[in-house]
Amino acid sequence: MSGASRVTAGDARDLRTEELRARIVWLIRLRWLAAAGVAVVVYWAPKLLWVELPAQPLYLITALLAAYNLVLWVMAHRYLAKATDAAVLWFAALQVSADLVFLTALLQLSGGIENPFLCYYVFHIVIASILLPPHVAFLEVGFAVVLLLGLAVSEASGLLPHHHLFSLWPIELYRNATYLSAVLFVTITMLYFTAMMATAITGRLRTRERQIVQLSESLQARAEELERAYGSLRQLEQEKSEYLYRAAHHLRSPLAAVESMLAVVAEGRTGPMPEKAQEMVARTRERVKGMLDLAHDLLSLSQARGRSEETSRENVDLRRVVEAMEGDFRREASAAGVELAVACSSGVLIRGVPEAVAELLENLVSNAVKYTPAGGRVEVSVLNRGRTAEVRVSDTGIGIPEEEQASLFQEFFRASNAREATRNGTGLGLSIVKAIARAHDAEVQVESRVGAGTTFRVLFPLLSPTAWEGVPW
Amino acid sequence: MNEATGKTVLIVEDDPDVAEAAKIVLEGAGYRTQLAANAADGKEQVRRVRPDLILLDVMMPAGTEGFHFVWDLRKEEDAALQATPVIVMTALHRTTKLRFYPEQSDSVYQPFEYLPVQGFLDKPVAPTALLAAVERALSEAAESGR
Repeated sequence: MSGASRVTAGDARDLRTEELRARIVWLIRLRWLAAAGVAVVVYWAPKLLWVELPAQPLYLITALLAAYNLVLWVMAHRYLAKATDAAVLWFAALQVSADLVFLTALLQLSGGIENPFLCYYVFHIVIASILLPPHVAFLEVGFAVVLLLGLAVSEASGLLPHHHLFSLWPIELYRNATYLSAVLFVTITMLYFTAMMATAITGRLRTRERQIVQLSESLQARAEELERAYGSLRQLEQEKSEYLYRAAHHLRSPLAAVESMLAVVAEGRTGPMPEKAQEMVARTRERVKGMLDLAHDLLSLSQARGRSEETSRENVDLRRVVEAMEGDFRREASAAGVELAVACSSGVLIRGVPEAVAELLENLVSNAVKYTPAGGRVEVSVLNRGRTAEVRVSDTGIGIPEEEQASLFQEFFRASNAREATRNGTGLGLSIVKAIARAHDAEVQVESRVGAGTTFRVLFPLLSPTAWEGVPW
Repeated sequence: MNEATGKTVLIVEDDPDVAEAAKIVLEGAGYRTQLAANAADGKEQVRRVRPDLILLDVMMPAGTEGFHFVWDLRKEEDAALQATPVIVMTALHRTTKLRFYPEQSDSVYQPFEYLPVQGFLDKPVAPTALLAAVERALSEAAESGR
């Protein structure tokens, strides 16, 4: 549904197994290095350090280690990806155990308890603590201790032959009880402490990981909730617009019929009327006209709000829209005794619905004319502002009080001086402008001073010149 | 005004008030009128009365009945009937491409782009605008008929 991938608790487990798989591959790679390292040490140690090593058995063990690693490598490549969680865990645990056995065998052939590489058990325990669950890691420690004790005891008791490492050292060190107990005590406690610390750190990391997964889960749930809420809000808005549209339409039809009949009567086509009746009919028509305007504006508003989809959009040349309406504007202006100036740059294109853009313009211009006293001037211009296309309508009219400018785009709001100037006006014109602008991703700016005039700027995203081909408008 | 004498206008309109207002205006100007309250009745009367012009409400009960009325009329076999000028009245309000024309010089717009009709009037229709539209459609029909 949503594009983002969803992380769940199940995924967290998957993540851990996934990580374990990766670590196993890493471990296998590490083992190649270890085998190579052993071979190098077995070759160079006697030459550099005057130590005596049974080279052949050691090379044999190293070769076995390499062969075992090859088997692991093949198994990992063939089966690891498909293996179950439990199988992956067993695979890892057995490797750690086998590594301990190999280490013990190598130590037995190279001085046993006397060999400083004894501390390499620690590496295996760290690896076990990271890879395996704590209880399995401690079992591995137990196994290491058993191997270590077995090595020490069987050499000390003569069960296994002891290979002297350093010819200069006291020969009997591996049988010295004090040395043995000291080395064993230090090594074994070190192994346990290492396991304790490493599993504790790993545990904390796992907890943190779980928390992060939980957090992201709840975040996702919240995001989905929001998405749903937003969706139903939009739906509601859509339904509201549709309802408004139908209601306004049903209001308009009878009003149109009323006006049609009143017009016939007012023009004397049904016979003469007393003067007072004529006056009353004229006033009735005035009120009906106000209601028709309201129904018209409600229709426009609901249409502007209900239409955000791309379907009816075209490339619109703003100058041509203005030119198409210029005649209407001129008639309107001259009827009001207002001078009209039109200045449009060519090739200013936007993506939009031409009728809606025309309606936006119509609302701004008729407002400007309406609130500009006779003798004033209204200017309509279309300008290329680089990234935006600017439609500007400015007048030398009554202006808008500064404190009322913020409410200007509210439905049914009319500025106090506008109400004083004329009773006619639905208070919806600028709401329509705003709704149409929003549907076109355009911004509306107002600049006004009482008594000096008002300038409205609508800033549309300018269409790039590459989109100019085939402009119907 | 004299040209109007004897010409018959068929008013196809489901709203009796609007129909009567138009009837008064047209008869006052010397036209004869016939009323039809729906498309079926309208079609029947077209054949019977053979009007010189049809004044058609586009939003009759079935929603777009008026559109179908026009298309059916333009498919008539009788050439004279098929060519009957039609003026559409609508309260459709700025439905996409229905009434946006480059030149909206008055409330009677350019010949309808998508519907083969001769005139287009927005409700409420002013009596003078109605008469102007009817006169123009009739004189255009007469010219093209000559």
